[in-house]
Amino acid sequence: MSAEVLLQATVQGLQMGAIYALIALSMTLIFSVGGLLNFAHGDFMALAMYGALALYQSFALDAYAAAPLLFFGFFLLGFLMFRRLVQPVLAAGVLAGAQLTLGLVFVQENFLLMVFGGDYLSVPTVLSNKNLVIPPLTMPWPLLVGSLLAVVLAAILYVVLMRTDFGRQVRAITQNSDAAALMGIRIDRVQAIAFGIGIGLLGLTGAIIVAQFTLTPAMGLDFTLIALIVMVIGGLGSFAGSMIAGAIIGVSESLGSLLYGGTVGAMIPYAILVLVLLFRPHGLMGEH
Amino acid sequence: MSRLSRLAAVGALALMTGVMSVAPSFAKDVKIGVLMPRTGRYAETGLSVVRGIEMVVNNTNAAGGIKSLGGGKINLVIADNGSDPTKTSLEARRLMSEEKVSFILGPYSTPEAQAFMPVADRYQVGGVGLQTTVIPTTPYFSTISISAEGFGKAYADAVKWLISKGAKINTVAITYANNDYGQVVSKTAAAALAAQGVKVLESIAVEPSVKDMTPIVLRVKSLAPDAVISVVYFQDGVLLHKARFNLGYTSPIWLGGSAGFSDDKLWGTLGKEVAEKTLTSSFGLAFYSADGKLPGLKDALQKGTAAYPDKVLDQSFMFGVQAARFLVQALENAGTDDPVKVNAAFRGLKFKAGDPAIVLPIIPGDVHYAEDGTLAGTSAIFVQWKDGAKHTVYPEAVASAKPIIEGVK
Amino acid sequence: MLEISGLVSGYGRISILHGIDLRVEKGELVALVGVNGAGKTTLMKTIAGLIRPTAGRIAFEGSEIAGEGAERAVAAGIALVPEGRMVFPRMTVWENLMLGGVHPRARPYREATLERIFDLFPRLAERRDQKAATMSGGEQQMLVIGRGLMAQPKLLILDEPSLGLSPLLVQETYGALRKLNADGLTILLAEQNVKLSLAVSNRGYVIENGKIVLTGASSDLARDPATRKAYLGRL
Ligand SMILES: Nc1ncnc2c1ncn2[C@@H]1O[C@H](COP(=O)(O)OP(=O)(O)O)[C@@H](O)[C@H]1O
Ligand SMILES: [Mg+2]
Repeated sequence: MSAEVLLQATVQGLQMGAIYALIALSMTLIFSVGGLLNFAHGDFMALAMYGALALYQSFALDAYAAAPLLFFGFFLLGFLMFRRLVQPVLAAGVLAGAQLTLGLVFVQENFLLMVFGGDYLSVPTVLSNKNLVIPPLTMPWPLLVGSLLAVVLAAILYVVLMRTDFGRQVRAITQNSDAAALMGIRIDRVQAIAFGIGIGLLGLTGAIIVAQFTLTPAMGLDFTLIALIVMVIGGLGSFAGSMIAGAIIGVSESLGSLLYGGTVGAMIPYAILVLVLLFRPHGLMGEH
Repeated sequence: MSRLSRLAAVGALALMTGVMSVAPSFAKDVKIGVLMPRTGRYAETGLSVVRGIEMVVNNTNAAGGIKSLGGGKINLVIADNGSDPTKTSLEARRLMSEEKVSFILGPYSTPEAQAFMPVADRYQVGGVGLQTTVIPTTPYFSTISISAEGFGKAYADAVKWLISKGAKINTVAITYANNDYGQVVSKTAAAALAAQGVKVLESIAVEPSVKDMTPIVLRVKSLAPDAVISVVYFQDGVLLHKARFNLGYTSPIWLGGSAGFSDDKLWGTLGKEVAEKTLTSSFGLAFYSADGKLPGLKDALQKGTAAYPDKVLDQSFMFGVQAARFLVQALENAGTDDPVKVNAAFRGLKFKAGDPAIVLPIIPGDVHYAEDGTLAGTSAIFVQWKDGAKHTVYPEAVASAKPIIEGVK
Repeated sequence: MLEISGLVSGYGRISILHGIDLRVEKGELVALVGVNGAGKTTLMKTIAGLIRPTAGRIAFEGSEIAGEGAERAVAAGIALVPEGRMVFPRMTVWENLMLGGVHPRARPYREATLERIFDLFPRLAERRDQKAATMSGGEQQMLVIGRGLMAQPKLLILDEPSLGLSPLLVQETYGALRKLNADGLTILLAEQNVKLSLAVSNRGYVIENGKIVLTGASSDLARDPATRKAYLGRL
């Protein structure tokens, strides 16, 4: 195998990894709100991708231009959903919460099937089918831009959570919600906003990576799985962990496929998950 | 009213209308199950298949039903298997034991068929697989598709034909979807190619759920083969062509199939730019192409356009049509709704070349069911794309265009 | 400043407090003493808005706050330093303190208050960037008191601040409370440690099985035969 091919596959894997990491980060954010495991995570992103499609079809709006719209739209969706649906159900326990999200998977997939049909669809964007060639590397612009934005968004999210009052409030609620209430923190509101940001990020993510994928109503599950794996490998709730885990999964998947074929490549995330659970049950950067 | 009693009331009403709608005649209606993916991975395909089935059944019922049953109508009971083997087996059981259907059109894929067959065997109700490439293990299951072995051989035959047309193919790389179907296709193709003196450099397994084909294409590229055979479904096929396009790797002769190279929606999904660079020079294995010359196909296209003016009449649709036409003939031959006899009639189907019941171009001549439940007399076709339309190029007997081969004038 | 009357409160359908009357005047340091399980924590939490009472009134500076929630209590100027410390374990000392002043009423004064707290507890200034979970019990107690002060309270409520601390640290903590009170902060202090709390406070209440059984000037209470009898072991 030539060094050039290895380099190409590594770069490709890193870019995919950055996207995985961002999806895992929004899952982490949602998880930090009352311990909700969002099994509909990938489906929200699929919904956003179809949203980008609808905006393109109706208003010829490019997915990248639609990204902020989808962020706000999904933020609102998440905010209201938390108030009306998630919070009441979560009060009955995290298990009920997980069941709710499983139900949402079904609802969203069928909604997409009804509205858009089962056809595979793609969304043309300004960047579609354009490559950045820096010999010996060829990088598809949609993936390059998607992954760079993913890193930037992850960094912004990190700063918001670690360095702002809002972020401290979110973490305070996670660590001790009674004490947080004593600080005068409006737990409901902070949680709803955090949840909204988590869902909003999925809206944004869907828009910025839509050019890279083919849309089908059932596509969410694969992303949910990858996000779960990355989140657990990185350590539940660890942001740096998710970033590192995303890169590890992306690169090992890519190099594994290149060197040993697609089946090995596809098994690698699960193999790493098992190894991490065996030797570091709390993940690479998990606390406790 | 409690929920339970409301349910009971609705049930009673439904029963009543059911009873009253039975026409006072001796016509005997038949209940036929349709077991197709309407959700999940193959939802799109399943929905299209069902449209094809419904069209044939509606036309048959409108034209007086099944004559040998005194004009009895076909009543479809449509079940969703969620593209999932477990659900296939559950729904098959329900259709057979509760709905008491006489025959089942479906299921769709090979894993679904494997879940279906033991159930069919136990309840002695027959079924017909549409895209199932497995050889049936029970007399109660038949297929319409070509077997995986048949596909493997078709690829090797096509390579032989390409060489005879002047293509230089000494080495081949194979990528295949890593499931029973893909494995058998790639193994058969590799063995047949080796027998023809073509060197198979490597057979690379790819998970159908792959999210990025770039590493696979890079691996193929590093092997530098003269030709590539890719056994892919739709989505992995799209990813394959995108990766080929992005990496600028379009030079070898690329054969592949089926959906990922010959589905009607492929060109549109890839977009003109990518499709022109990748599909135009490729050879797509197919069961179906609208440019075929069969009279049954022309008729189905005409009726399909009338029934679904806003839908694409794709190969899945035609498979639905084909299965339903076979069934209508089997019911006529059977003259009863007894599942065992209907199944025997299905297995006993025989058609002469050009029979209007035949719609699929993969059935160019006389056809009948072999002992093992596969159709004897089928052969895959290869298409090439030009400006968004498919043209059959192989076998030359049914071809509508001449092939365009890389490196050959 | 704080006027509680006929307060009935508890958990779910179980009432723990059966009609509490209690007042705290501006500038006072009032002690609430009682054995383990008497209902002190329940009363503190009800005042701070964590528990919704089933009957009675809690008036703070003339306005009713009973059952209005924790946010309302903080907004009104009540800060509870809870029993068992309840730091935010995976955050630094500085972050814990910042959270104490995160309420809009307190936010503008955070920097200045932080200075005062670091003066009062120099140890916190030294450990500014240390994770709260890694600190000793005494340091955590200082931290939660500091965090309570960050909220700019008019009334600071402390629930058993001496619990689990070494005598030396108890002295230090009480020294700080006395100083804060001397600077004008009104304090309500719940304690099992009768001797100590009655020694620092102006007035005291004795709670038993959810009822106030005795009240008066701390010095009188300390000498009262009933108190002495009830808490003999502890005097
Ligand atoms: N979360 C709770 N649920 C039910 N009962 C409780 C709860 N917390 C405390 N109690 C009960 O309330 C009573 C008073 O407890 P508490 O207010 O903590 O007393 P103190 O603080 O004086 O030790 C005790 O009998 C205790 O068992
Ligand atoms: Mg207590």
